[in-house]
Amino acid sequence: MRQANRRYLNRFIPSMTCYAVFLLGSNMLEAAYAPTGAPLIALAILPALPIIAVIWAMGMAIVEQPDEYVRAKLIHAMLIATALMLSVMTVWSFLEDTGAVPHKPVHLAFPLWCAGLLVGQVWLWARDRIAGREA
Amino acid sequence: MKNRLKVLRAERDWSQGDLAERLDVSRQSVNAIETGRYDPSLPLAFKIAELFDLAIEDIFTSPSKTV
Repeated sequence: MRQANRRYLNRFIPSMTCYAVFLLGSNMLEAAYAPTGAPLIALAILPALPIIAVIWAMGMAIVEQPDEYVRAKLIHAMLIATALMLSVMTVWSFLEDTGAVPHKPVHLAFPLWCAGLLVGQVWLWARDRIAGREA
Repeated sequence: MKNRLKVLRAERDWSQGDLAERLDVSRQSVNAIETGRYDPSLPLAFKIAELFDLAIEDIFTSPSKTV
């Protein structure tokens, strides 16, 4: 189980480091050279690639998790995260239709999902703690 | 799913950690199975049964028989 966690961190930390470097670099190059066409598209996509790598690392964390209960709990937390993100985005969309709120920042979908994952994991951890104490 | 895991473990004076180590799973897995919050997969159920040298149905109670 520890090996699976270590493998996840070995993928997550370099990916997030790349994200920070690519985001800063991409913004600086855009500001300095005001590229257009294909170079602009390439620069815009560049910071997204490490985020995709993080999503892959999260998937691999499930695939490589040897403990079936921990794996089931992780999937449960991911379902909670997905439900929370979809709920927030749905409510926001309807509010947006009325003009009550600005256009939703779609690039926040993944951070929002990650926040939901944290909520899900805390919820399941608390549930286990309470059940463990009652046992 | 109801089971006798806690009793069987206590008979051998094993902690949840001891059993987890023998089954090569986390302590939280043992706790979740014991308290009926998680039903183990068939391979894990066989592993548990083999460890205690019992049949699966001697450890786990069929849900249809608990109603």
